[in-house]
Amino acid sequence: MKISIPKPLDLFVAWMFTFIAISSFFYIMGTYNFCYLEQWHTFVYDSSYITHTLKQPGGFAQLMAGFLIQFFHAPIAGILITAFLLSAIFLLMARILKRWTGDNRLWPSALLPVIALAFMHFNTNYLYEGTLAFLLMLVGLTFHLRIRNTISRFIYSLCYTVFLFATAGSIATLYVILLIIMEVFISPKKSVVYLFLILVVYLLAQYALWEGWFGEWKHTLLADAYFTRRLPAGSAIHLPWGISIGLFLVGGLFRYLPNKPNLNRIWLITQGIVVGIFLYQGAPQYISKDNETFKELTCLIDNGQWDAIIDRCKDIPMTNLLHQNCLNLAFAEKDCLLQELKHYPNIGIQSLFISGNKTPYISALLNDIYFSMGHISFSQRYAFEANESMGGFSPKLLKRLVQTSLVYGHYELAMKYIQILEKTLFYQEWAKAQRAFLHNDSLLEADPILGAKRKCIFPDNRFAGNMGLDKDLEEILKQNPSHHATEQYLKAIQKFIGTNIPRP
Amino acid sequence: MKKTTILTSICALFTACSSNIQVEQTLSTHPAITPDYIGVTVPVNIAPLHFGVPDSCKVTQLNAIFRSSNKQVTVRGSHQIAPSASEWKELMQEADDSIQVCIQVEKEGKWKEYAPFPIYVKKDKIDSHLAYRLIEPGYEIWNEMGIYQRCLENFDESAILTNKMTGYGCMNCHSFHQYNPDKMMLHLRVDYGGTYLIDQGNIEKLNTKTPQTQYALVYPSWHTSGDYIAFSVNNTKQMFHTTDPNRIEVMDFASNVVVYDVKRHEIFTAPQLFSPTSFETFPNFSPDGKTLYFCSADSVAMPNDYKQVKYSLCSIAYDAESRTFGTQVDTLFHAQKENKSVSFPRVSPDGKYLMFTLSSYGNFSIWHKEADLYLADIQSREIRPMQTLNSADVESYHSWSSNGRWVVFSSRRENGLYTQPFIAYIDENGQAHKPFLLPQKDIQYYDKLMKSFNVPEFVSGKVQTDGYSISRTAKTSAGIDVTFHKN
Repeated sequence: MKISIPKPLDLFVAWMFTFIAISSFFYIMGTYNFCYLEQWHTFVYDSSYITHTLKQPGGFAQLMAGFLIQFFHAPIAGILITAFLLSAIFLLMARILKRWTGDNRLWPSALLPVIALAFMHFNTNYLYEGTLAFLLMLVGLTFHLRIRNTISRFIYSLCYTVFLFATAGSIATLYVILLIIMEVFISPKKSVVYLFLILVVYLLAQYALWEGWFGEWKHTLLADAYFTRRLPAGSAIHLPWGISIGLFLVGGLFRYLPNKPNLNRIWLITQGIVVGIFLYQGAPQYISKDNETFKELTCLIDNGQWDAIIDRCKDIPMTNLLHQNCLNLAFAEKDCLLQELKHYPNIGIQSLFISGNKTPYISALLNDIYFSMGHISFSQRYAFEANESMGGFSPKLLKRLVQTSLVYGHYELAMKYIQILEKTLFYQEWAKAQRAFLHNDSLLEADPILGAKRKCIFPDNRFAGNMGLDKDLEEILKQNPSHHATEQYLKAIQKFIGTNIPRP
Repeated sequence: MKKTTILTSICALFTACSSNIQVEQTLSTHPAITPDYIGVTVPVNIAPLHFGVPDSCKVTQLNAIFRSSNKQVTVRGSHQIAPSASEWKELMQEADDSIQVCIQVEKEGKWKEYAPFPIYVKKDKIDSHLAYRLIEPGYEIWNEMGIYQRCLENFDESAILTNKMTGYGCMNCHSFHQYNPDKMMLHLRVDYGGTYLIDQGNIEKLNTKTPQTQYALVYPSWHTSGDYIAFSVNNTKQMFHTTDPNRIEVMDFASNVVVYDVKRHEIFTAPQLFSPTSFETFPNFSPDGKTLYFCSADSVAMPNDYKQVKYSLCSIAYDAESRTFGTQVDTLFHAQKENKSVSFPRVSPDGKYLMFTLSSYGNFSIWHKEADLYLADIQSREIRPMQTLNSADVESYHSWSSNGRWVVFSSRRENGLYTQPFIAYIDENGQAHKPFLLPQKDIQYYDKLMKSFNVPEFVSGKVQTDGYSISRTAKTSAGIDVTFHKN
């Protein structure tokens, strides 16, 4: 098989094919994956927020990630935008390998880092800027190979290393490693000078540590930077980097391997098999169906799509506590929790509300459940903690904090959160509408949601949950007998009393 | 709605306040500016006061004319008035005792002028820096937090240490010896937990939990000599209200007061400070080092009787030479008699006054909306509320400047949750002047900030020890085990 230089049309077709394939993959594996991500981050159109972010190493990538994530409000937007980025990565990677090795034999393998990055996107702790950083790095490598003069190429590499560290963070390490591999295979003697870039990256990392932008070496030099920094990233985060390094090492060998047309079909098939195996083996390993269902249910809760939740749960085995929590929340809102309990394999009170484990994901769900119960103080607490854990700009949770502050009549506080949401693209209208409730008790009390929740605040103050959540709910119900969700939850709890009661 | 009097008719166009703006209306009222700097008293070396008018006023342009005795500065802005640092400095230096500020606003194409208001200027300087912790006013979990320093003469802020550098653990209770930026301490909790003493760049990590005290050291107070630090040892827990606007109740289930000997790495105490039948906390050494003030409450069954815990303000003599305490405990404020509870006693540097927070019960006054600041005259034992400083919401943690003329205190008066630092002048008679919110470059700074200012402390200069060095010590040093010494 003869490999020819792709024409622009071929490139477009290749990119289009990849884009459609990745979009389909995301759609099939987790339609709501990116929508769920948007619940945790939004972009605040504020100069000081932007300036502050840009000042940190990797700030540009972080800012761009935030900018893109705001559009994930619609599930399909996240899929298309991410597929666009990943297909661009594929195209750039394939072109770099082709230009460097001199032929197209390795193009199927360019899919491997793309697949690894796609897997990472299903991990809620993966930071979206990791993919943008990867793209920026490939842009740098693409231009690097276009410079023929050795000295100019080195000067460019030096400048781009610094630029990359400043704008995208630790990806500069991978950039330097790949550069060295490329240069070693181009000219082993001249490549020695590229070792200087290791020192540059080290010094940049050390400076970032001194300045307190990062606390750990791994966050300045490794892929760990693109994972929630409070948690250990594990090995999966290194997959895209590791595969890229491996691919370039193989690419180096290919430079010396004669291009025999009769062997090319074998190379192509072999690579196709490797890509297929990686996809087949990796998908179940890195994508949890349970998690994706939870993300979907959470997004439906956000929109109050109770019937959709109930319908969705008919198609899945209801053995997961988080799914049970979501379904029971929908039942409570539909005033049929008690009668539906027996139809599902609920194991006890944990099926109604899971124990708080201090993670933002569980806290956010608990915030929804307690809001439904009419237990405003707990709802506020979990909304606050979840929002705080994720950096303070979760639109979903800021909305809830506006609501709970309004319910309590803490109008100045509500105003603070409203002002932040007013600086977002997709929540400003909602936020502006909430201004009407500020210092307007009669309007608030007439509102079907806020009014009903305010009536749930009972006069006999106590420590929340201290006497048992059922006792709190009894008080809420006494205060607001028409709040059916409270009644539903209370009766459900009473039915389960004696089983394992989690700490609220 | 406030009544306003229009002094001049709209038809009478004239130029006012010596600016070249055609003012069509002159009002006899002051403008509603944010932050409220009308009539505040500021030190001569404070950073420029930036302010604006609320968005609800819908003004399109602002003009401010600042006048001191020999200087006039005009500043224009679209949403905020921000005098330049050099002009502001000149204004402050030229001011006899105040500057007058005349505000003009353009609304719907017409200019209005408000009655000028004063900003009082005191020649008593404020310490150049303020150190504070920025933390979400949260519940049981936290994310990013840090101890920061801000130059009060400009808007420079830098981190002393953030928890990004220390495994995202908690950090608290930063405290300086005699306002010295080179001699301080702080605690880290969870990862790399310990008390860190920094002296001229030397960092010492201490493991302060002993079998006798059971818990790590908490609230500190340096002895004048720098050789001792008094600490409380607290077993603190928190619970959450359903209805009470205070949200959270933080309470001690046990607490005592001890003194740490910096040179010997020992802690010691006295029975009066280490009683199993009472809760002792918030130690504070007098400037001469001869008296230790602290709060004490009868221990009760917690958490059920949490509202019965009322802390009295007490003192005990201390002799640094012999490391011994007096036998008599003097009570300045009887909690049970007054049915109130004292927290955060802080003696002024001249030893004349003691400022403290008073709330209905308990000691974690930042979560008590009724908490207010009080001042005790140590000589006469007269106690009075600091009316000028207090608001309907929380006033809590406070500290004195090194010259004793300024106090900084935390207040939740603006939004009920996110604590902000206010600074006030205290004159020779112990009278407080109207406080001002710590000025920021961007007047929306506090609206955007999702954190509270916690434990504001004046410092006489910039802390030079970098966070990286502290974090390196935290990560590499096993720490010195502090021992408990029985007298």
